[in-house]
Amino acid sequence: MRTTLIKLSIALFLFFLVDFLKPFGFYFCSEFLFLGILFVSLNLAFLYSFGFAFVFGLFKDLFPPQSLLFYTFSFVLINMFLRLTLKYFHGRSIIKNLVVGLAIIFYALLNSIEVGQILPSLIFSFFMQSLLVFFIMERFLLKWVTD
Amino acid sequence: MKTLEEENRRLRRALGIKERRPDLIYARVLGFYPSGFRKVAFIDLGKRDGIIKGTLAIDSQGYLLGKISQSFNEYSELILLDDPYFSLPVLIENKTAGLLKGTLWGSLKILYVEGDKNISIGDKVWLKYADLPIVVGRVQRVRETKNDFFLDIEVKPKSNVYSVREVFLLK
Repeated sequence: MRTTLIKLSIALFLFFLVDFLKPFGFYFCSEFLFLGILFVSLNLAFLYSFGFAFVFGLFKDLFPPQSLLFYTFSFVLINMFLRLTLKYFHGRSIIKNLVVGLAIIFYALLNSIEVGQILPSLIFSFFMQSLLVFFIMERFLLKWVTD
Repeated sequence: MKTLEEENRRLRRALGIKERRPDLIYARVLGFYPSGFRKVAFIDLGKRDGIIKGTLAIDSQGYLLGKISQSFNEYSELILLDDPYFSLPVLIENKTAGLLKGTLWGSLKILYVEGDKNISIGDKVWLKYADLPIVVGRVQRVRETKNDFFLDIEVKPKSNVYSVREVFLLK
């Protein structure tokens, strides 16, 4: 378990760096760290995934410094939503995919409200990119973490 | 090798523009605000280099890229044209002035332009900075709104805010 946690911490930190450096510029509008939080929320026990959501949300809020703890709040909220939903529909992959999609839309809406502009085209683009990257990322991360 | 060539090309372009406009300061982009819903860059110059809030940034072609929203000792926060919190007074040709706003989706908006100003598609949007005309872009769409006193003006920016790696600050 300890190795898994260390590997996930490294992965999330690297995701944060990719979000900060934006190697694809603004052509890619999704957020790797957010997708990493989705991954840990789906694959780790509640206590651990909650810890990751809280710590990395706080990290994102502090670097660069924000006036509100927006990411801490949204990561923790999404983590709790995913854990609670999966508690009742455990083992059904269709439900899991649906819940991931809902979490992405919810996060995009939260961000849109925060910046004061709800753009359906941007939300759609964020949703499609996030979903695609999430399923690719999940495959590789699962393999790496369980190796 | 390819990276070196690219670096050389960028530096040559940077030197070229500096010769034409000696009041420019070259800065590199360190990173970006880690969100898909903000367009903010962090540059490697700060207060100790004389960079203050409100300093304008242009690209290597001389087109407006954004403005400094916060300055720290060693780095500054550059809010790009397309960020939803970006706003700046601009001119449309020599017809009128308005407030430029970012939309997060490529094009920009100009607010508070009255319907009788004869704004048309292709009009140049620019601003004057210490007698230098800085081009922002061109009017892409003009719509009259039914219940509003002002026009709905969309502007296509000339600079490419999607892949900013270097900027020039106007001092």
